Amino acid sequence: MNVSKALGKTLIASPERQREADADWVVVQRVQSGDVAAFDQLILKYRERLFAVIYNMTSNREDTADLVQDAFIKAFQSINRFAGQSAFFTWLYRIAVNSALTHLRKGRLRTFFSLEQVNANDQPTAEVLAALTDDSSGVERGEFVKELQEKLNEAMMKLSIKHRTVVTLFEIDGLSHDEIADVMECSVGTVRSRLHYAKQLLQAELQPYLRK
Amino acid sequence: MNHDQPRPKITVEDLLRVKRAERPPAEFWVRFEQELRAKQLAAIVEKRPWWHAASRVLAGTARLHLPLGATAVLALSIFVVREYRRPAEGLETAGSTVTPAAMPVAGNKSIETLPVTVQASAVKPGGAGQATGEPMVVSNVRPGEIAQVISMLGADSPANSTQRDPTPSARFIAANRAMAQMIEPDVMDRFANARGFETRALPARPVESEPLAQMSTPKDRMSERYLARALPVGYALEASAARPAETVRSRVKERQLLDDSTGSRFGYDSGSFNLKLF
Repeated sequence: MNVSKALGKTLIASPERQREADADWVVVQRVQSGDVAAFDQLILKYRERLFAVIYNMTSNREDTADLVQDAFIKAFQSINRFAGQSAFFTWLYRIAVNSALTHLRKGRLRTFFSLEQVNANDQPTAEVLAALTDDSSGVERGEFVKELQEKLNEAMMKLSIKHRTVVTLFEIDGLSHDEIADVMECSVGTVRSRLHYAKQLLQAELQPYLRK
Repeated sequence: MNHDQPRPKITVEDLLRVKRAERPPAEFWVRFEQELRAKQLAAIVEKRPWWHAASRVLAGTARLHLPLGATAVLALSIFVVREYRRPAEGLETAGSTVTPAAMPVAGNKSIETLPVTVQASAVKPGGAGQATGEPMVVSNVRPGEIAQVISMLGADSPANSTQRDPTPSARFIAANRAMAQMIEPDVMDRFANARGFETRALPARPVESEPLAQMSTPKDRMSERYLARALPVGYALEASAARPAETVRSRVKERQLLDDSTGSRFGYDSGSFNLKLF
């Protein structure tokens, strides 16, 4: 089984993104016309994705919660300025990522990592874990997953802020190169370059867990 | 465990999917929701600083930024230019720049007028004729008044000299003097009593004489020394001042007599050039 091939399908920017953006634009227009409660739909829709992005940038749950909440409040306060020239989620991501980058640059990152539970029901992840711990018992598997999470966090934190952001947006949240370039306000070439460099570093750090 | 089956390939991307599956527990989202509501309300109640409103207004007028900026720069430029030109313009106006017009002068001659700016040095009454150095600007003088004043000044006035010698500069000076006479007669009387404009502020200068007349030859100096011994002091000084001038004038006349009627030392006659050396 080729796990990468199976997972790769979910990472490609598709027409679903366009439909999603159109649906968001309708909700945004409702909020702009005075229906403030409609903004809750956007919060419920994007809070987990936004949390995943920021969490993998900061590796801390409390910081992530604060940053995501701030991002939603900023978006709510500025929603009248959103003209629909880009997708709403791109705009929201840009707000959140910029807040996180500012937060990380200020060095207010907590030194400990708060590890979240890995959702075992997530099929691609379960397959990866099964492949990694094919002959382990349940307890051993749990220990292995925790150790892998720590190693992943350490490897991610060794990357620079910008490289970490690119890896998070591409590999974890599944944005396309163009969307990342839009969020980070840089060129697509820069995104590709950063992604390539970051993967090389991660590969060196996570060598014991890789299998060729 | 079946070792015959090939083990699946695991890449960095696969490992990163593990992080993607990390989820906070359900109770986290309940607390997240409560905190977000509280922050949202606080943000609504919180009085935002004025520059937020300003930035919102500016964002609304983003299309007008360029034309508004250009207009502001243009307006500022016009304002600055006007502010810097105003003193000069004011001076011209106060100095009554007379527009070119035909001015009737005594003797029914019309003077082609030049722009006349009347400025007189203010003289303090108690200052014994010392000029303050500040130009006194005279205003509200109409062209007709100048001619009237010129005609009133009589034969000895500069206006009559204008008639005799109608050069533009002479007319200009005459008009200025007449204007000043009309407006500040006291000042002009002091000018008339004085020998020159500079005599008000400067000590009296000796009477000007030609440079050649001031030259003295060795012979003159020798005779002067002899005369100084033989004659009284006053006579000797007068004679020494007059004699070199007479000597030089006589020599110049001799040279003029030697020159031809054209007054040139160079000539051309029957295919040859002539040069008079003396």
